[in-house]
Amino acid sequence: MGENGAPSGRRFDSLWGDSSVKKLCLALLAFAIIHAGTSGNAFGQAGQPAATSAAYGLQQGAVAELKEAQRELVSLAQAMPAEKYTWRPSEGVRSVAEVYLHVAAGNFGLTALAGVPPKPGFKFQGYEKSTTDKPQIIAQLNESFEFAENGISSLSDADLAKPIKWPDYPTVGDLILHIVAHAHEHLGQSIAYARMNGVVPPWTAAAQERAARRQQANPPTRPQD
Amino acid sequence: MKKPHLSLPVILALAVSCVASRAVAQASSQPADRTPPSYDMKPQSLLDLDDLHKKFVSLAQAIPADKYTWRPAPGVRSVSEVFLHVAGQNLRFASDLGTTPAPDFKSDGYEKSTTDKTKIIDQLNQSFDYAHAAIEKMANIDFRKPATKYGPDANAGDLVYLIVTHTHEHLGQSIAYARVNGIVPPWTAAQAQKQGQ
Repeated sequence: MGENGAPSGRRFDSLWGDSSVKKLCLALLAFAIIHAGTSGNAFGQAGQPAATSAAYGLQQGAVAELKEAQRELVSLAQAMPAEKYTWRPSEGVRSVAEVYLHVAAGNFGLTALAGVPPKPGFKFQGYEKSTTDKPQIIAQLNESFEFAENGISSLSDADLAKPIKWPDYPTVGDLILHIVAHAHEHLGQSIAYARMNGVVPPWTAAAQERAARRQQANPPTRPQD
Repeated sequence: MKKPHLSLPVILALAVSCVASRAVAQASSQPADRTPPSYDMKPQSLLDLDDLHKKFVSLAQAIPADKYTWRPAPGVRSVSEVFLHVAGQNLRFASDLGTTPAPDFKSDGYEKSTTDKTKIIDQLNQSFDYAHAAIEKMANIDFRKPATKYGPDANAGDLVYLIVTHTHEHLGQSIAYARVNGIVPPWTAAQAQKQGQ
């Protein structure tokens, strides 16, 4: 009932007839609808967290780091003379070729463990010692990095939370972190192997060359007496 | 003066609007990301960093003090310089994650500041603890924070990734340094002993 006992419907009719009130109502409704849509958490069901994406784009980060490892490892493999591929720092330790193939095996095997369809014909056993041929190893390195990069890119955020059967890496996301760390650890090992054999990593050689050119173009000036 | 009278639809619209506004206010006064992410890289990166910490320190302990100045070729980092490079980068990266810079840490000349085995192991320990603490205090949403020093699109998550990959790279290098000097990494020796039993 209205203030004077008149039905509120009539008062509504008269107010609704007023265009400014009509606009106010529509604006308030629009505001309510828009904010109801953007404050999903407040309006969501209790105990049912909304499916948010990971705060950090793990897949993109992993692929960027893998691409860097690929670029450096492949250029290092190219710079290493073929006859050094069987060199090893001591007995029982992986040779140059075995380290490269170990990285490739990790890329193929671990990525498949993350739920990506495995590379047809790939067998982990014996793979590291399967060849010492430089061009074949470089091709395997490239193929394995592309396999890992494409495989990781194809995973959704929901895939990252899936469990895997490996106690050290309980989820797919944990395993991806390991795939990248694994490649970088053996990149560091391979750089040390190269240095021990007098090979300067190509990117370091290029940086040194650039620095030398800069110094040549701008020789240090003698201080004025 | 006539009092304005609001009908049911107007009151309803006001009520809905009030609830929505309150929800918006609540959302903005709290961290925006209150739901668990599909994957949170923090726990695994901390586990990984702790494992690296253990391996680096045990390797540094296994390498004899007189080998700390060994290097594979002139112009390449020596054993001690690699260890201090790792420690220095841990301190720098952690500081870039927003942690208060480590007191007394001077970036310039740090890698060549000492070849003393005990001091270097101490520096390694401190730097890993410092990096761990920096990541530990991050909330999930902090991983999105820009870290433009590392690239126009880089964020703190990239930096955490960099800490992990950088440290792994130099662990691989340090293992190779150890191996060429006839030193078996302690965790490999322990594993071999276990298998032999």
